[in-house]
Amino acid sequence: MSHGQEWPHGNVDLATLTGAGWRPTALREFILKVHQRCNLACDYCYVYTLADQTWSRRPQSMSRTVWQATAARIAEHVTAHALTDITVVLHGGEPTLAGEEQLSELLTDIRTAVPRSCAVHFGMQTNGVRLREPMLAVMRAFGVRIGVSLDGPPEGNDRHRRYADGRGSSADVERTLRRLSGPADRSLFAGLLCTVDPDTDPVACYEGLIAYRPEKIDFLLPHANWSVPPHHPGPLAYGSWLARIFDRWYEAPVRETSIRIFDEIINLYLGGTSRSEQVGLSPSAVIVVESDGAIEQTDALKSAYESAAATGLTVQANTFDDALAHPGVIARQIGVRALCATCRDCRIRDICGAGHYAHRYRPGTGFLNPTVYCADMIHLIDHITARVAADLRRLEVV
Amino acid sequence: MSSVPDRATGGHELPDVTEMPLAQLAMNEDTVLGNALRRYHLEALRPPENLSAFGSFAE
Ligand code: SF4
Repeated sequence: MSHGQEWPHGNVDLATLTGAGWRPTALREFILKVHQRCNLACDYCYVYTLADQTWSRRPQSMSRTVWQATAARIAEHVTAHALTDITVVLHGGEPTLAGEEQLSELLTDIRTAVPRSCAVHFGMQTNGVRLREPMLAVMRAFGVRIGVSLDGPPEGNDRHRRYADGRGSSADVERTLRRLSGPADRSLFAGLLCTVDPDTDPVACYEGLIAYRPEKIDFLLPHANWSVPPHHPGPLAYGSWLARIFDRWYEAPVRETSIRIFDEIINLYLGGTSRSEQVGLSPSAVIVVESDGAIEQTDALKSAYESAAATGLTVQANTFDDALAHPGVIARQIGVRALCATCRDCRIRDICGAGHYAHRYRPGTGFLNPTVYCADMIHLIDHITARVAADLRRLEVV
Repeated sequence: MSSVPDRATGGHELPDVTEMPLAQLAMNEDTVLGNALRRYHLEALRPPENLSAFGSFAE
Protein backbone atom coordinates (compact mmCIF):
# COMPACT_ATOMS: atom_id res chain seq x y z
CA MET A 1 0.00 0.00 0.00
CA SER A 2 1.36 3.44 -0.88
CA HIS A 3 1.49 6.16 1.74
CA GLY A 4 -1.16 8.02 -0.26
CA GLN A 5 -3.67 5.27 0.58
CA GLU A 6 -2.85 5.07 4.27
CA TRP A 7 -5.06 6.78 6.86
CA PRO A 8 -5.95 9.66 6.84
CA HIS A 9 -5.52 9.95 3.05
CA GLY A 10 -8.73 9.00 1.26
CA ASN A 11 -10.51 8.60 4.61
CA VAL A 12 -11.18 12.04 5.99
CA ASP A 13 -13.19 14.32 3.81
CA LEU A 14 -13.95 17.97 4.43
CA ALA A 15 -17.34 17.94 2.67
CA THR A 16 -18.60 14.96 4.70
CA LEU A 17 -17.37 16.44 7.96
CA THR A 18 -18.76 19.90 7.36
CA GLY A 19 -22.04 18.33 6.20
CA ALA A 20 -22.22 16.75 9.65
CA GLY A 21 -21.69 20.13 11.31
CA TRP A 22 -17.94 20.03 11.92
CA ARG A 23 -15.92 23.19 11.27
CA PRO A 24 -12.14 23.55 10.87
CA THR A 25 -10.19 25.46 13.51
CA ALA A 26 -8.31 28.50 12.20
CA LEU A 27 -4.52 28.26 12.31
CA ARG A 28 -2.93 30.33 15.04
CA GLU A 29 0.65 29.15 15.12
CA PHE A 30 2.90 29.61 12.10
CA ILE A 31 6.29 27.91 12.25
CA LEU A 32 8.70 29.42 9.74
CA LYS A 33 11.75 27.45 8.60
CA VAL A 34 13.93 30.50 8.25
CA HIS A 35 17.12 28.45 7.89
CA GLN A 36 17.20 24.80 6.89
CA ARG A 37 20.72 23.88 8.01
CA CYS A 38 22.00 23.39 11.52
CA ASN A 39 25.32 23.86 13.27
CA LEU A 40 24.71 20.75 15.37
CA ALA A 41 24.21 17.16 14.26
CA CYS A 42 22.06 15.67 17.05
CA ASP A 43 21.69 11.94 16.62
CA TYR A 44 17.89 11.91 17.09
CA CYS A 45 17.05 14.95 14.97
CA TYR A 46 13.88 14.24 13.01
CA VAL A 47 14.87 16.68 10.31
CA TYR A 48 18.29 15.37 9.43
CA THR A 49 18.73 11.81 10.59
CA LEU A 50 15.30 10.21 10.18
CA ALA A 51 13.18 9.18 7.21
CA ASP A 52 12.64 12.52 5.53
CA GLN A 53 15.52 14.17 3.68
CA THR A 54 13.50 16.79 1.75
CA TRP A 55 15.37 19.56 3.61
CA SER A 56 18.45 18.94 1.48
CA ARG A 57 16.53 20.01 -1.64
CA ARG A 58 15.28 23.30 -0.20
CA PRO A 59 17.01 26.69 -0.15
CA GLN A 60 19.30 27.06 2.84
CA SER A 61 17.69 30.30 3.93
CA MET A 62 14.18 31.70 3.49
CA SER A 63 14.27 34.51 0.92
CA ARG A 64 12.58 37.87 1.32
CA THR A 65 10.13 36.96 -1.47
CA VAL A 66 9.05 33.84 0.44
CA TRP A 67 8.66 35.50 3.83
CA GLN A 68 6.72 38.38 2.31
CA ALA A 69 4.37 35.90 0.62
CA THR A 70 4.07 34.12 3.98
CA ALA A 71 3.33 37.39 5.78
CA ALA A 72 0.60 38.21 3.26
CA ARG A 73 -0.98 34.75 3.69
CA ILE A 74 -0.87 35.05 7.48
CA ALA A 75 -2.53 38.47 7.24
CA GLU A 76 -5.19 37.06 4.91
CA HIS A 77 -5.90 34.22 7.36
CA VAL A 78 -6.05 36.60 10.33
CA THR A 79 -8.55 38.78 8.50
CA ALA A 80 -10.67 35.89 7.20
CA HIS A 81 -11.03 34.40 10.69
CA ALA A 82 -10.99 37.67 12.68
CA LEU A 83 -8.10 36.37 14.78
CA THR A 84 -6.99 38.55 17.68
CA ASP A 85 -3.74 36.80 18.48
CA ILE A 86 -1.34 34.51 16.70
CA THR A 87 2.12 33.08 17.26
CA VAL A 88 4.93 33.10 14.71
CA VAL A 89 7.88 30.85 15.56
CA LEU A 90 11.32 31.20 13.96
CA HIS A 91 12.55 27.69 13.47
CA GLY A 92 14.92 25.61 11.40
CA GLY A 93 17.39 23.85 11.10
CA GLU A 94 18.87 26.50 13.35
CA PRO A 95 17.11 29.86 12.97
CA THR A 96 19.99 31.99 14.28
CA LEU A 97 22.01 30.92 11.21
CA ALA A 98 19.71 33.16 9.15
CA GLY A 99 21.52 36.15 10.68
CA GLU A 100 20.20 39.12 12.61
CA GLU A 101 19.67 41.40 9.62
CA GLN A 102 17.52 38.91 7.77
CA LEU A 103 15.49 38.03 10.88
CA SER A 104 14.98 41.69 11.72
CA GLU A 105 13.58 42.34 8.23
CA LEU A 106 11.40 39.25 8.38
CA LEU A 107 9.94 40.18 11.77
CA THR A 108 9.29 43.73 10.58
CA ASP A 109 7.55 42.52 7.44
CA ILE A 110 5.29 40.13 9.34
CA ARG A 111 4.33 42.67 11.98
CA THR A 112 3.62 45.24 9.25
CA ALA A 113 1.49 42.87 7.18
CA VAL A 114 -0.73 41.55 10.00
CA PRO A 115 -3.60 43.88 10.96
CA ARG A 116 -2.94 45.86 14.16
CA SER A 117 -6.08 44.36 15.67
CA CYS A 118 -4.19 41.05 15.96
CA ALA A 119 -1.41 40.57 18.51
CA VAL A 120 1.59 38.73 17.07
CA HIS A 121 3.60 36.75 19.61
CA PHE A 122 7.02 35.95 18.25
CA GLY A 123 9.02 32.94 19.37
CA MET A 124 12.24 31.23 18.35
CA GLN A 125 13.36 27.69 19.03
CA THR A 126 17.15 27.50 19.03
CA ASN A 127 19.92 25.12 20.01
CA GLY A 128 21.46 28.10 21.81
CA VAL A 129 25.04 27.48 20.74
CA ARG A 130 25.53 30.86 19.03
CA LEU A 131 22.93 33.17 20.48
CA ARG A 132 24.89 36.38 21.12
CA GLU A 133 24.65 40.09 20.47
CA PRO A 134 23.61 41.54 18.06
CA MET A 135 21.07 38.71 17.51
CA LEU A 136 19.81 39.19 21.07
CA ALA A 137 19.21 42.88 20.35
CA VAL A 138 16.84 41.89 17.52
CA MET A 139 15.05 39.45 19.82
CA ARG A 140 14.62 42.21 22.41
CA ALA A 141 13.36 44.71 19.84
CA PHE A 142 10.59 42.38 18.68
CA GLY A 143 9.89 40.69 22.03
CA VAL A 144 10.86 37.31 20.59
CA ARG A 145 10.52 34.68 23.32
CA ILE A 146 13.32 32.16 23.08
CA GLY A 147 13.02 28.44 23.70
CA VAL A 148 16.30 26.54 23.99
CA SER A 149 16.80 22.82 23.42
CA LEU A 150 18.86 21.20 26.17
CA ASP A 151 18.85 17.58 27.33
CA GLY A 152 19.83 18.11 30.96
CA PRO A 153 23.33 18.10 32.46
CA PRO A 154 26.40 17.94 30.14
CA GLU A 155 26.88 14.17 30.24
CA GLY A 156 23.29 13.57 29.10
CA ASN A 157 23.10 16.48 26.68
CA ASP A 158 26.42 15.74 25.00
CA ARG A 159 25.49 12.12 24.39
CA HIS A 160 23.09 13.29 21.68
CA ARG A 161 23.42 17.03 21.07
CA ARG A 162 26.79 17.21 19.36
CA TYR A 163 28.64 19.09 16.65
CA ALA A 164 29.34 17.20 13.44
CA ASP A 165 32.92 16.60 14.66
CA GLY A 166 31.60 14.84 17.77
CA ARG A 167 32.17 17.65 20.30
CA GLY A 168 29.37 18.14 22.82
CA SER A 169 27.37 21.37 22.70
CA SER A 170 26.64 21.90 26.39
CA ALA A 171 29.47 24.36 27.17
CA ASP A 172 28.30 26.72 24.42
CA VAL A 173 24.61 26.38 25.36
CA GLU A 174 25.46 27.02 28.99
CA ARG A 175 26.98 30.39 28.10
CA THR A 176 23.75 31.36 26.36
CA LEU A 177 21.56 30.10 29.20
CA ARG A 178 23.55 31.95 31.84
CA ARG A 179 22.84 35.07 29.89
CA LEU A 180 19.15 34.30 29.32
CA SER A 181 18.59 33.50 32.97
CA GLY A 182 20.29 36.73 34.08
CA PRO A 183 18.39 39.93 34.82
CA ALA A 184 18.94 41.71 31.49
CA ASP A 185 17.48 39.08 29.18
CA ARG A 186 15.29 37.06 31.48
CA SER A 187 12.11 38.34 29.86
CA LEU A 188 13.23 36.79 26.56
CA PHE A 189 13.76 33.33 28.04
CA ALA A 190 10.65 31.26 27.40
CA GLY A 191 11.85 27.84 28.46
CA LEU A 192 13.72 24.63 27.78
CA LEU A 193 12.83 21.71 25.53
CA CYS A 194 14.34 18.43 26.64
CA THR A 195 14.15 15.13 24.79
CA VAL A 196 13.60 12.17 27.12
CA ASP A 197 16.56 9.80 27.42
CA PRO A 198 16.02 6.93 29.87
CA ASP A 199 19.81 6.49 30.07
CA THR A 200 20.05 9.82 31.92
CA ASP A 201 19.10 10.02 35.60
CA PRO A 202 15.69 11.74 35.52
CA VAL A 203 16.00 13.75 38.71
CA ALA A 204 19.53 14.92 37.84
CA CYS A 205 18.22 15.89 34.43
CA TYR A 206 15.35 17.93 35.89
CA GLU A 207 17.60 19.60 38.44
CA GLY A 208 20.14 20.41 35.72
CA LEU A 209 17.41 22.17 33.79
CA ILE A 210 15.88 24.16 36.64
CA ALA A 211 19.33 25.49 37.52
CA TYR A 212 18.67 27.98 34.69
CA ARG A 213 15.32 28.98 36.23
CA PRO A 214 13.22 28.42 33.11
CA GLU A 215 9.61 29.55 33.29
CA LYS A 216 8.64 26.38 31.41
CA ILE A 217 10.14 23.02 30.55
CA ASP A 218 8.70 20.53 28.15
CA PHE A 219 9.86 16.94 27.95
CA LEU A 220 9.48 15.46 24.50
CA LEU A 221 9.33 11.76 23.76
CA PRO A 222 11.88 10.94 21.05
CA HIS A 223 10.25 10.53 17.67
CA ALA A 224 9.45 6.90 17.00
CA ASN A 225 6.58 4.88 15.56
CA TRP A 226 5.48 1.28 15.06
CA SER A 227 7.99 0.70 12.25
CA VAL A 228 10.86 2.56 13.97
CA PRO A 229 10.24 1.76 17.66
CA PRO A 230 11.69 3.75 20.55
CA HIS A 231 15.38 3.17 21.05
CA HIS A 232 15.21 2.10 24.70
CA PRO A 233 14.07 -1.49 25.14
CA GLY A 234 13.27 -1.41 28.89
CA PRO A 235 9.63 -1.91 29.90
CA LEU A 236 7.96 1.44 30.56
CA ALA A 237 11.39 3.08 30.32
CA TYR A 238 9.94 6.40 29.15
CA GLY A 239 6.81 6.46 31.31
CA SER A 240 8.64 5.63 34.53
CA TRP A 241 11.40 8.14 33.71
CA LEU A 242 8.81 10.88 33.37
CA ALA A 243 6.92 9.70 36.47
CA ARG A 244 10.08 10.09 38.55
CA ILE A 245 10.46 13.67 37.37
CA PHE A 246 6.78 14.26 38.05
CA ASP A 247 7.24 13.20 41.68
CA ARG A 248 10.29 15.43 42.14
CA TRP A 249 8.45 18.38 40.55
CA TYR A 250 5.10 17.80 42.22
CA GLU A 251 6.54 17.39 45.71
CA ALA A 252 8.50 20.65 45.71
CA PRO A 253 7.05 22.80 48.52
CA VAL A 254 7.01 25.76 46.12
CA ARG A 255 6.37 25.17 42.43
CA GLU A 256 9.70 25.56 40.61
CA THR A 257 8.57 25.79 37.01
CA SER A 258 5.85 24.69 34.63
CA ILE A 259 6.38 21.27 33.08
CA ARG A 260 4.09 21.40 30.14
CA ILE A 261 3.26 17.74 29.60
CA PHE A 262 2.45 17.34 33.31
CA ASP A 263 0.47 20.58 33.56
CA GLU A 264 -1.58 19.56 30.54
CA ILE A 265 -2.28 16.07 31.90
CA ILE A 266 -3.45 17.59 35.20
CA ASN A 267 -5.59 20.14 33.38
CA LEU A 268 -7.17 17.40 31.26
CA TYR A 269 -7.83 15.34 34.37
CA LEU A 270 -9.58 18.30 35.97
CA GLY A 271 -11.81 18.51 32.90
CA GLY A 272 -9.94 21.18 30.91
CA THR A 273 -8.43 21.06 27.44
CA SER A 274 -4.86 20.53 26.31
CA ARG A 275 -2.62 23.02 24.62
CA SER A 276 0.01 20.39 23.93
CA GLU A 277 0.17 18.20 20.86
CA GLN A 278 1.56 15.42 23.07
CA VAL A 279 -1.71 14.77 24.95
CA GLY A 280 -5.44 15.36 24.73
CA LEU A 281 -7.87 15.73 21.86
CA SER A 282 -7.76 19.47 21.14
CA PRO A 283 -7.61 20.49 17.49
CA SER A 284 -4.13 21.41 16.29
CA ALA A 285 -3.78 25.02 15.16
CA VAL A 286 -0.22 24.68 13.87
CA ILE A 287 1.17 24.95 10.35
CA VAL A 288 4.73 25.04 8.99
CA VAL A 289 6.17 27.11 6.14
CA GLU A 290 9.41 25.73 4.68
CA SER A 291 12.23 27.93 3.35
CA ASP A 292 10.94 27.58 -0.22
CA GLY A 293 7.36 28.52 0.74
CA ALA A 294 5.96 24.98 0.92
CA ILE A 295 3.11 24.70 3.44
CA GLU A 296 3.64 21.62 5.57
CA GLN A 297 2.27 19.84 8.61
CA THR A 298 4.37 19.68 11.76
CA ASP A 299 7.93 18.50 11.33
CA ALA A 300 7.58 15.57 13.66
CA LEU A 301 5.74 13.71 10.88
CA LYS A 302 9.00 13.62 8.97
CA SER A 303 10.07 10.87 11.35
CA ALA A 304 7.41 8.58 9.80
CA TYR A 305 8.34 8.55 6.13
CA GLU A 306 9.74 10.77 3.36
CA SER A 307 7.33 13.64 2.66
CA ALA A 308 4.86 12.64 5.41
CA ALA A 309 4.54 16.31 6.36
CA ALA A 310 3.93 17.54 2.79
CA THR A 311 0.62 19.05 1.70
CA GLY A 312 1.51 19.94 -1.92
CA LEU A 313 0.56 23.56 -1.14
CA THR A 314 2.71 26.69 -1.14
CA VAL A 315 2.31 30.21 0.22
CA GLN A 316 2.93 31.49 -3.30
CA ALA A 317 -0.09 29.66 -4.75
CA ASN A 318 -2.38 28.76 -1.85
CA THR A 319 -4.15 30.21 1.15
CA PHE A 320 -3.89 28.77 4.63
CA ASP A 321 -7.59 27.95 4.28
CA ASP A 322 -6.52 25.55 1.50
CA ALA A 323 -4.32 23.83 4.09
CA LEU A 324 -7.33 23.45 6.41
CA ALA A 325 -8.89 21.20 3.74
CA HIS A 326 -5.87 18.85 3.60
CA PRO A 327 -6.61 15.38 5.07
CA GLY A 328 -3.48 15.45 7.24
CA VAL A 329 -4.44 18.83 8.73
CA ILE A 330 -8.07 17.77 9.20
CA ALA A 331 -6.96 14.59 10.96
CA ARG A 332 -5.26 16.72 13.62
CA GLN A 333 -8.44 18.72 14.24
CA ILE A 334 -11.22 16.15 14.56
CA GLY A 335 -10.45 14.84 18.02
CA VAL A 336 -11.88 11.45 18.83
CA ARG A 337 -12.86 10.87 15.19
CA ALA A 338 -9.14 10.50 14.40
CA LEU A 339 -8.65 7.64 16.86
CA CYS A 340 -8.43 3.91 16.19
CA ALA A 341 -10.93 1.55 17.86
CA THR A 342 -8.47 0.66 20.65
CA CYS A 343 -7.99 4.30 21.62
CA ARG A 344 -11.69 5.14 21.32
CA ASP A 345 -12.44 2.49 23.94
CA CYS A 346 -9.51 3.33 26.20
CA ARG A 347 -10.34 4.49 29.73
CA ILE A 348 -7.78 7.32 29.56
CA ARG A 349 -8.65 8.29 26.00
CA ASP A 350 -9.57 11.90 26.76
CA ILE A 351 -6.28 12.53 28.56
CA CYS A 352 -3.89 10.57 26.35
CA GLY A 353 -5.67 11.29 23.07
CA ALA A 354 -3.55 8.51 21.44
CA GLY A 355 -0.43 10.51 22.25
CA HIS A 356 1.61 12.41 19.69
CA TYR A 357 0.16 12.00 16.21
CA ALA A 358 3.57 11.24 14.66
CA HIS A 359 4.12 8.37 17.08
CA ARG A 360 1.00 6.54 15.85
CA TYR A 361 2.35 5.70 12.41
CA ARG A 362 2.36 2.09 11.22
CA PRO A 363 2.84 1.08 7.58
CA GLY A 364 -0.54 0.02 6.18
CA THR A 365 -2.80 1.64 8.76
CA GLY A 366 -1.05 4.99 8.64
CA PHE A 367 -1.80 7.20 11.65
CA LEU A 368 -4.88 5.27 12.81
CA ASN A 369 -3.17 3.51 15.72
CA PRO A 370 -2.35 4.04 19.38
CA THR A 371 0.93 5.83 19.98
CA VAL A 372 3.91 3.50 20.03
CA TYR A 373 4.39 4.87 23.60
CA CYS A 374 0.93 3.57 24.64
CA ALA A 375 2.14 1.56 27.65
CA ASP A 376 4.32 4.47 28.79
CA MET A 377 1.39 6.89 28.49
CA ILE A 378 -0.84 4.63 30.58
CA HIS A 379 1.85 4.37 33.23
CA LEU A 380 2.47 8.12 33.34
CA ILE A 381 -1.16 9.22 33.24
CA ASP A 382 -2.25 6.71 35.88
CA HIS A 383 0.64 7.85 38.07
CA ILE A 384 -0.19 11.54 37.76
CA THR A 385 -3.95 11.21 38.10
CA ALA A 386 -3.66 8.92 41.13
CA ARG A 387 -1.49 11.47 42.93
CA VAL A 388 -3.70 14.40 42.02
CA ALA A 389 -6.89 12.53 42.95
CA ALA A 390 -5.42 11.59 46.34
CA ASP A 391 -4.53 15.21 47.05
CA LEU A 392 -7.91 16.51 45.95
CA ARG A 393 -9.48 14.11 48.41
CA ARG A 394 -7.07 15.23 51.12
CA LEU A 395 -7.92 18.87 50.41
CA GLU A 396 -11.55 17.85 50.75
CA VAL A 397 -12.52 19.28 47.41
CA VAL A 398 -14.01 15.95 46.44
CA MET B 1 -20.62 21.64 45.04
CA SER B 2 -21.50 19.59 42.03
CA SER B 3 -19.12 17.10 40.55
CA VAL B 4 -18.46 15.88 37.05
CA PRO B 5 -18.22 12.22 36.13
CA ASP B 6 -14.78 11.41 34.81
CA ARG B 7 -14.53 8.69 32.21
CA ALA B 8 -10.74 8.88 32.27
CA THR B 9 -10.53 7.48 35.77
CA GLY B 10 -13.08 4.80 35.13
CA GLY B 11 -15.90 6.42 37.04
CA HIS B 12 -14.24 8.29 39.92
CA GLU B 13 -15.85 11.64 40.46
CA LEU B 14 -13.88 14.83 40.20
CA PRO B 15 -14.77 18.26 41.54
CA ASP B 16 -16.24 20.77 39.18
CA VAL B 17 -13.55 23.30 39.94
CA THR B 18 -15.32 26.05 38.03
CA GLU B 19 -17.70 26.16 40.99
CA MET B 20 -15.04 26.44 43.67
CA PRO B 21 -14.56 29.77 45.41
CA LEU B 22 -11.39 31.42 44.15
CA ALA B 23 -10.06 31.69 47.70
CA GLN B 24 -10.14 27.92 48.00
CA LEU B 25 -8.33 27.51 44.71
CA ALA B 26 -5.69 30.03 45.63
CA MET B 27 -5.16 28.33 49.00
CA ASN B 28 -2.13 26.44 47.79
CA GLU B 29 -1.25 28.26 44.64
CA ASP B 30 2.47 28.06 45.34
CA THR B 31 2.25 24.32 44.94
CA VAL B 32 1.92 22.47 41.67
CA LEU B 33 -1.59 21.35 42.50
CA GLY B 34 -2.80 24.73 43.73
CA ASN B 35 -1.40 26.35 40.63
CA ALA B 36 -3.09 23.77 38.41
CA LEU B 37 -6.47 24.28 40.07
CA ARG B 38 -6.17 28.01 39.77
CA ARG B 39 -5.14 27.77 36.13
CA TYR B 40 -8.07 25.54 35.34
CA HIS B 41 -10.41 27.99 37.00
CA LEU B 42 -8.95 31.04 35.25
CA GLU B 43 -8.46 29.50 31.83
CA ALA B 44 -11.89 28.00 31.37
CA LEU B 45 -12.42 30.49 28.55
CA ARG B 46 -9.15 29.93 26.68
CA PRO B 47 -9.23 28.73 23.08
CA PRO B 48 -9.40 24.95 23.01
CA GLU B 49 -6.77 24.31 20.34
CA ASN B 50 -3.31 22.90 20.91
CA LEU B 51 0.02 24.29 19.78
CA SER B 52 3.40 22.80 19.06
CA ALA B 53 6.08 22.46 21.71
CA PHE B 54 7.68 25.59 20.24
CA GLY B 55 4.44 27.53 20.17
CA SER B 56 3.79 26.91 23.82
CA PHE B 57 6.93 28.83 24.62
CA ALA B 58 5.92 31.83 22.58
CA GLU B 59 2.56 32.36 24.28
S1 SF4 C 1 -2.49 5.32 22.97
FE1 SF4 C 1 -2.93 3.76 24.51
S2 SF4 C 1 -3.22 4.95 26.40
FE2 SF4 C 1 -3.41 6.37 24.71
S3 SF4 C 1 -5.61 6.48 24.23
FE3 SF4 C 1 -4.70 4.91 22.90
S4 SF4 C 1 -4.97 2.97 23.97
FE4 SF4 C 1 -5.26 4.63 25.47
